[in-house]
Formats: sequence, C-alpha cells, structure tokens
Amino acid sequence: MRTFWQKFIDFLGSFELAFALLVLLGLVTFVGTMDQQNLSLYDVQKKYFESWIVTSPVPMFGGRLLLSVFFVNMIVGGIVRIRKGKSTLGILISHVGIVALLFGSFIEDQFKTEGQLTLWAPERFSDINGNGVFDPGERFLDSNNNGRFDDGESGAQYRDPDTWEVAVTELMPTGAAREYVVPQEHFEKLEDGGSTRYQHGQLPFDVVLSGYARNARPRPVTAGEARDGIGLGGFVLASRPAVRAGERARNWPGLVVTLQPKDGSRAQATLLCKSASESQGIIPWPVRMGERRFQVDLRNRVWDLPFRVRLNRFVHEKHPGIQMAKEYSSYVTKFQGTRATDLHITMNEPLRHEGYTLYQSGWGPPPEIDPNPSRLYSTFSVVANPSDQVPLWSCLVIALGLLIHFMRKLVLHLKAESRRRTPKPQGEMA
Amino acid sequence: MRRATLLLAPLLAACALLAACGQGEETHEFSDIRDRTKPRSTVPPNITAAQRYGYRDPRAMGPHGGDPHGGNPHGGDPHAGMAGMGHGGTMGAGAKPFTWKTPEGWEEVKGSSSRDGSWRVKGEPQTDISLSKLRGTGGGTLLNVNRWRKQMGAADLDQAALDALPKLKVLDRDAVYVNIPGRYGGGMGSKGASIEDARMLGVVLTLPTAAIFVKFTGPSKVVEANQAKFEQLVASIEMAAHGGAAPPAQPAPKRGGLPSFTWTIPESWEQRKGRMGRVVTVAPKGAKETDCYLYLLGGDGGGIDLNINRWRGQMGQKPLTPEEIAGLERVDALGTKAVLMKAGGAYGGQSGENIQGATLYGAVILKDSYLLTVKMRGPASELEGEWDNFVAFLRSVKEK
Repeated sequence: MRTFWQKFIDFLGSFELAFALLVLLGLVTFVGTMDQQNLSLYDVQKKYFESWIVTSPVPMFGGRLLLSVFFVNMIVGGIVRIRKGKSTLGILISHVGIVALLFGSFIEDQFKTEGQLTLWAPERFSDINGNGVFDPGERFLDSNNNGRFDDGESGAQYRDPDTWEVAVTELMPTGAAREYVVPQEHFEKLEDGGSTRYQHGQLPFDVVLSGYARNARPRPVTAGEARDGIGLGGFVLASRPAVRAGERARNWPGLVVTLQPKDGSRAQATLLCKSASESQGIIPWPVRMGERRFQVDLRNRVWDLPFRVRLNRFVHEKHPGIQMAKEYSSYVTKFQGTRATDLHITMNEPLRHEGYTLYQSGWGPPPEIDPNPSRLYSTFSVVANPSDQVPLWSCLVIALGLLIHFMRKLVLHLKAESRRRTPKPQGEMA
Repeated sequence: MRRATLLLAPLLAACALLAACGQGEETHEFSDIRDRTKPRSTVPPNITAAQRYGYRDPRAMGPHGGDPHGGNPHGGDPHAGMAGMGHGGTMGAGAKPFTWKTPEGWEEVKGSSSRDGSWRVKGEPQTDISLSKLRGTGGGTLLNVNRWRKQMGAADLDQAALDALPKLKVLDRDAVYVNIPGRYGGGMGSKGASIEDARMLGVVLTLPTAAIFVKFTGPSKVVEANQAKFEQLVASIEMAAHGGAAPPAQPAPKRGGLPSFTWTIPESWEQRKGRMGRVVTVAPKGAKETDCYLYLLGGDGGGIDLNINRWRGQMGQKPLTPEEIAGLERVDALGTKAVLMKAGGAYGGQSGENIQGATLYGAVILKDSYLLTVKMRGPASELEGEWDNFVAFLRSVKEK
C-alpha cells in the first residue's frame, strides 16, 4: 500500500505535473503579453511573472509559483528519480542545466538591482589643437553661464525610475546623513489597507506607513470632511488611476507616514506625495525631535556603486545620409580609491566591474527638444546581477546534454539501420 | 491529469489564503541603513505641509482649498536646499522688480503693462524680447513650456522631456531653457503677424512665490545670430534694490511670519543692489568684488555648525568639529551671541563665483524662530581693515 507521501513525491516528480506546469506557464505568458495593452512592462512583470498568484482578469497561478514548482519537479523527477544509465545521461545533464537556469532566475529575482545613471558631458569647446583637452585660450559654450569650463559630470549612484523607497534621513550636526530605508515591496501591499511599523534602536520614534496609493495627489479637504475630522493638516490623498506611458509607468505614489515617539509624546503624521505644482516632485518632510533633525522622503529607489564614474566625452555618430545610429559611445573614467582608469563604453561593450554592468542605453537632449544643445548627456543602464552569467552557462549545459542524447539516438538509429540493411543469411532450400 | 488537478487544488487554496493575509499592522526592524557624507537633498526646516503639496497655507485659504499654484508666504525653494527667495513683497508692485543690461545692438521698447522689460533687435521689427513675472507658479514650468511650443506649432513635452531640457542661470537659479524652431503664430497680446521660419528662445524660472519668463521670438536667422546676446541679457537680470540712498538706519522688508530688521551702515560702506532672498546687501565704498549681506532663514536654518562649515567649504577649508566651533569668537547681537568666523582661501560660491585669494567673514545668529547670517566675502585686499566695520554692522542689526 503506497502512503500519501509516496504518492505526493510521485506527483511532484511526474510527467503530468511537468506537462501541466508548462501549459500553465504558456497560459500566464500569453495573458501577460496580452495585458501589455493595458499595463506597463514593469507592471506586467510584477503582476504575472513575479507573483505567486494572479487574481485578475482570471484567477491563475503566477510565474513565481509555477517556476518554483517546476524547479522542484525537475529535481525530484528529472534528477533524483530518473533512471540513471547510458541511455539517460544526456537527459540528466539537460535537466541539471534547466535546474541551474531556474536557480539563476531565483537569484536574479532576489538580488538583482537595476537602474539608470545619467551624466552630463563636459561643455563643448573649440579643440584648436585637437588634443581632446580643454586648454587655456580655447573657447567653450558656457552652458550654465557660470564663467568657467565645466568638466563632465561624475556619479556613484544609480536610480530605478520604476520603484520607490521611503527614506528617513537623520541630518547630523557634522553635515553627514544617515538614511533608514524601506523598499517599495514592503509598503506597496498597503494599497489594500493596513499599516506597517518600522523600528530601530537609534531612532527616537517608530515609523508607521499606511494608506499607500500607486498614483495620487494631495487635495484640500472639503468642508464636510473637515467637520468629520478627515485629513492631515487640511489635506487628503486623492487616488488617481494608474497611468502608463510607453513601457514605463508615470505614476507618483503617495502614502501616510506617522512618527510615533518612543517617549510617548504626541505622534506626528503627514502625507508624502507629489506636489500639486507641475514643476515639483515629492518634497521631503522635515521633522525635529528634540535636538535631532530628520527628513522623511518618498523617492525613486537609489543604489550606490562601489566606484565613481565620470563622463569625459560622449560620441554620437550617424551613418552617412541617414538618421540610423552608427555609434553611441561614452568615454569615462572610473575612480576607485586612489585609482583612476579610463574606459570606453559603447553599445555592445558594457563596463563590467565588481558585479556591476554599465550599458550604454541613451543620450540627450534629443534634437526635437533641443536642436542645438550646448551640452549632451549620456545615460547608462546599471545592472547588478550576481547570476548574469548563469543563463549562458545553463544553456551550454542543456545544449551539451541534448547533444549527447541525440548523438546517442543517432548512433543507435544508424546501427539499427545498418543491421536492417545487412542481408540476412539465406536458408538452404529444402 | 485528474490526479494532478486534485493535488493542485489545495495548493491554490493555500495561495489564496496567503494572499488574503496582510491586513493589520506588521512590525519590522529597519535593515537597510546607509551612511552618507551629506544628505541627498535638504528642505527648509520650516516648510509647511501645504507648501510641500504646492498649495497656499490652508489656514489662509480655508477648508475649500483654493489656487493650487498660489503664492507661498513663507518662501522656500525646497530644491535649492536653502530657504531661498519668496517672503512675498520682495517683488513689490509699482517699481519694476528687475534690473538688466541691454545687449549692444538691442533697444528697449515700450511693452505691455504685464511686462517688466521689453526689447527688440535694432532694425529687426519682427523680433520681440520680453521679461515678465507672475505671482504664484504661473501654472508651472511644463504648462508654460508647452504653451510656448504650441505658439511655435511644436508638439507638447512630457515631464521627462522637460526634465531633460538644458538649464540657464536666472537670479542664481537653474531655469529651464528652450530653443524651439517652427512657425511663430504669435503669443498672448502679440500684435505682429506670424513668422514662417521662426525660432523662439525662452527661459522659465518657477519658484514657490513667482514665475519669471524671458522670451525671444523672431526670424530664425536673427534669433540664432542673437542667441549669445539673449543669454547675456538673462545673465544680467538682477533684483532691483528699492529705497534709493541709504539712510543711517533702514527697515527691512517684512517677511511673512518672520521679523523685520533695522541696521546701521558703517560710514565707509554703502548699500548695494541685492540679490533674491537677501535682506540687504552692503559693501565698502569702492570695493568692486566684495559684498556683505544679511540672510534670514526660518526655523534653525540648518543650525550654526552647518552654516559655519558650509562657508568653510566654499573657501576650500575643512569643516570644524563641534568643539572647534564652540571655541569661535562670539559677540552680542540681537539679544544673543553671534558666532563669528574668518576664513581665507579660494572662494567658490553657490552661483559659480570664483575669487582667488579671498577672505570670508561670517556671523551666525540663532534665535528661537529664525537664523540670521551675515556674510562678507571678497578679495583679501578689499577686506583688509574691514573686520571692525563688519562686527559693527552685525551688532547694529535690530529686530524692528
């Protein structure tokens, strides 16, 4: 008599489950692709592929759940329980490759960070002697009118325009700052209600986040709301439908932040949201607690690079007579400690250093905005992905396994054919 | 397949239960803590919630709100990292609020009453250059840039495209600079006919209390040839110093919610034209590159240490420790002790000024509701022997 667990293990490693998972993966991919008509690429990824369950437009399993179960199915059925021998060697190797690929995607899902770093190039100058260096006597376009030649901008942080974070910054008397950061994945679930409390031994207050909205603006309370005591400081957060523009959503989130002092004194609360003024974004909230000064901000997610990059020159060349780009190139200097290294980043030659990859991804201002810019900027996509080489190696392993398997099949087939074509010895006539 | 379906059903139910969780309050420890040598941005400590939301103070407008782009009585451009301009009334009615230097080859012309300055290129009647300001934000930068683009028959920009536009300094602040080719259909109140091959140069500076516009339209070739002059004009715009000759003691303009001041100018000094945000600017007579000014910040204005070390940073000096600052000279001023500092070196100011061999005298007065700074900087040769005058000027400042 087989126990429940034996049956369960059989099921986990079964062909039927693998088949069902592949069908469901196909389904979620199809629906997710179709939903890109309504959602941004980022939102589709979050909703269909980085989720456990999808509730609308039809309830279905999310990509994260399906791939997790598929990972287990592959290990149980494709590696542990598979019949091992010469005939299954290639298949076994391919399964190892698939498991490695799935594990790599898990690592990427958990640890990958991605964002943008935009740097302005130096001001343009008349390079009389063609040495690429601004020399005394050469003329330059003083784009910011400050009377001096400005070198290219340098930066050591990259910003993800798609995700947000709440940062509680303590402004130290020395001018330094310490940031206590809550990432978006912690507070975005508050869209449906509830609150989350954050604590730290060195903070004189607890931080409570609530009332998150993906796209919101402040509005003054109505007379009725004021009578009913609704609103914070005379304002409420008015939700707007989430919008999409191109592949990236252009939403301004908002939430309620409450600081609850540990000494039991009165809590302070505010809305963090975009200013109603077109030209302003989300303006941080300054708070004083005794002698200590803080700022609470809702901002795009920011990561630090372990090195600094300065843009020395940006090259933008077109093919003769047409608008097609021939080359986008950035000549940069990487500073780390006391070392400075000159490097060249172009479309298919990213800068790879210490697990970070900087790809040439954009430039500007575009001609339709400024036909004769006095200064150009270059935008790099920055990716930190500890498993960025895993897909390559996994695919090589899978290819090797399939090659072994099909070569063996071919050899067996050829042998069988050879045997079939070899004339059988004729029996003697009776 | 039936077996698979049966076993997947409880998994789905478990997921649904998990998804339903999440209501109520969870508690977490902060795990992502980052130390920085300086904050990524700072806002004035006295900024109100209404100002952060882009509204007037609700106490002034009542529960129904009002003009979302209204003025900002307490001032403060949060993105400038300091209290900045504002303090309504600086740009008073009546006298023109700006001064400028008309570029060679241009002439001033009489413009409409809504303009603060109006010019054209000599011999080019189709050109039109204007300077104007609006109270409030004038609808915001994006709206105005797109209004101009419409006048040129160009498509609207979105916020990201606006952010990518180049900047030009106006009154020491970064203003959006547009350069739009197209067919000019005429702006508000335009009397001229449309121009086919036209170009528009424009600068928009949006502040919490005001929006400032400088615009140049005309035939494309003429505008291109005069682009550098347009940028010269923009760079030369300054706030006008009203009040004429300085009497021995003068009241400062009233700043919303903050005190006004009087002061006595030393005999060998004179009052100069100020810049946006300053209470008053004075300087030794004959000193060309030196000025001394009072600057008022609400709240603690960043505190004494931050201001002292900010000035030291402008002089290329290392910051002082709190103990070293505690040891700085102090004098009586405004009923408290003003902290004094001197520094020498190469001065690099926020607006790009650069003075080699400079001297900086500074004083910080921290009161309960505001912080007043007195700063004097210029070439060491011009400041020689002026320390006593600086201290006398500082001590003469009184609340009105």
